[in-house]
Amino acid sequence: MNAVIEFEHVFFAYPGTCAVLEDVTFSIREKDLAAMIGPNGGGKTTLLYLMLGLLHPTSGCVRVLGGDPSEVRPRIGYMPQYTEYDPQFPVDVMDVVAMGRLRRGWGWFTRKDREACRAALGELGIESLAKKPFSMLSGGQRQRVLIARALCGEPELLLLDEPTANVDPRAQDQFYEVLDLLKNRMAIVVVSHDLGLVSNRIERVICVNRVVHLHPVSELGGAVIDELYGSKMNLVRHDHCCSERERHHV
Amino acid sequence: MFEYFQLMQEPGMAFLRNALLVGLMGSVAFGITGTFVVVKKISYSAGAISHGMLAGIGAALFMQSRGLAWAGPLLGAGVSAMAAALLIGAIHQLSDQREDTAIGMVWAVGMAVGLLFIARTNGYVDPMSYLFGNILLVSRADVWRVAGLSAGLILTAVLFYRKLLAVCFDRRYAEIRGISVTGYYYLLLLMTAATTALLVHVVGIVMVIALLTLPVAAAGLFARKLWMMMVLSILFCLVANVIGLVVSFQADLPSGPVIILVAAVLFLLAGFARGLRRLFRSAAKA
Repeated sequence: MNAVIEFEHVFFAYPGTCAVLEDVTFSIREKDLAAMIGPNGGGKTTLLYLMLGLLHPTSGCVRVLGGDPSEVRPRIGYMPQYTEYDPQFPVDVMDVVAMGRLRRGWGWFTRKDREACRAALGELGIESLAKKPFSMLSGGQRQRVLIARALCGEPELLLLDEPTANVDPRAQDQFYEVLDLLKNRMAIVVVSHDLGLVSNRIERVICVNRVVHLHPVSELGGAVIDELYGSKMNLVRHDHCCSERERHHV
Repeated sequence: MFEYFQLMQEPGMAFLRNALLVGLMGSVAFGITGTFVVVKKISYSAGAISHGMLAGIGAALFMQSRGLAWAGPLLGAGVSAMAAALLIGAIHQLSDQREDTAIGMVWAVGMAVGLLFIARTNGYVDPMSYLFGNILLVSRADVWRVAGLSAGLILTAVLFYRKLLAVCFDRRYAEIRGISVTGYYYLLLLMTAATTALLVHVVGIVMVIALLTLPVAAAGLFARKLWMMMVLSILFCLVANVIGLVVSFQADLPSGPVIILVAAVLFLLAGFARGLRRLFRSAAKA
């Protein structure tokens, strides 16, 4: 199977700081469903921005969908953390979802764009919200709208940043249903603190804490996860291989 | 109240007609630019652009007094507003933090330079009309310039509506969709510069920030979409300009402060109206 995301010996440091990511090598394949976990400040967001081409590695190589991340970006669906929005901004749900169809250069919003937005809203069961102001939605509804925005561009890779942060348990369950729906259609990477998500649905786990390790879920026991978060640098056992491509990390 | 409109029709009273026209068409520019300034949260940058303009106005008055007739204050205002906008854009691009400190510097240094130029200008120069505005001073040429500005801003807002919306709402997402976020940021700053420079006579450089934000804040209480916010802001601004102009003329008061106070009263009334509407709605539900 083709690799959708490939990191090869990637180092990254913000100017004037020590390395945020060191010698990162891993790959995510087509239709993988992977979770990215790790402590705050461990480099999760940096890794995500490298995948989106918003940051460039200090050294090493990042390839996404077979190309340079900043060039293939329109083929990536991305959902940022919704907490970043101005709650008083005058936009409705359709406006927000339509941003997922934005293109470089000239061109009006076409009927095809509108249909894609409606289809994405329909898929997430929120067509009825199309004309509601974004600011009046609940946390769970906003989360669905942002997923719809990521989906309406018909992406081949979906990156979700903390989708279950700041939503109630019911919305979390709904999110898992969405994930089950999208699984096997495209590669999905979910950044999450939510360890319940990791155990049930996810096939692979990307552990990020300056160094990055990829684990198949079967090898991640509760005790191992406790270890990752409990003591800072003691990561999961390093002496296994996750697939034919990822050999031993030491 | 209607005396203004009667006097306006007399042949010798062209300045009253010009003032009203600039007030009406300027509202379009204030409403469109102001909406972006408010939702993008760059009102501090807009304040720095308008105040920094005094450097250009002062320099132009100084040069005119030394015999360079072509250096009109409006040209000076335009050039310095554009320069301030580009400088603020560059500050935004280059600095990660403390952006507001650098913007504050543009604000104060611009004013200082302008005041020194005016101090060394031969003959009597009254900076008051630039600082606080006097809409009765606008000429026929000003009317045409403001018409051009408003037409240009409508065209920009229509052509780039979705992109500007995305850049203001979620900069990073717009960037991921391939939109030149930096380019559109400069566009917004230049729109602000053009609006403040060409409408310097309406309320002056000190108070222009109020006409960019107060009508928009009132509109924001009702608008559900960005374009509705623009349309409502234009209407609120128009009402403030016309009532302010007529009342100040009638009562022989400076026009700038009266326009601002009318805009502030409109904002309070809008807040009150929305409060009432909510009360009725919750009463209807209960």
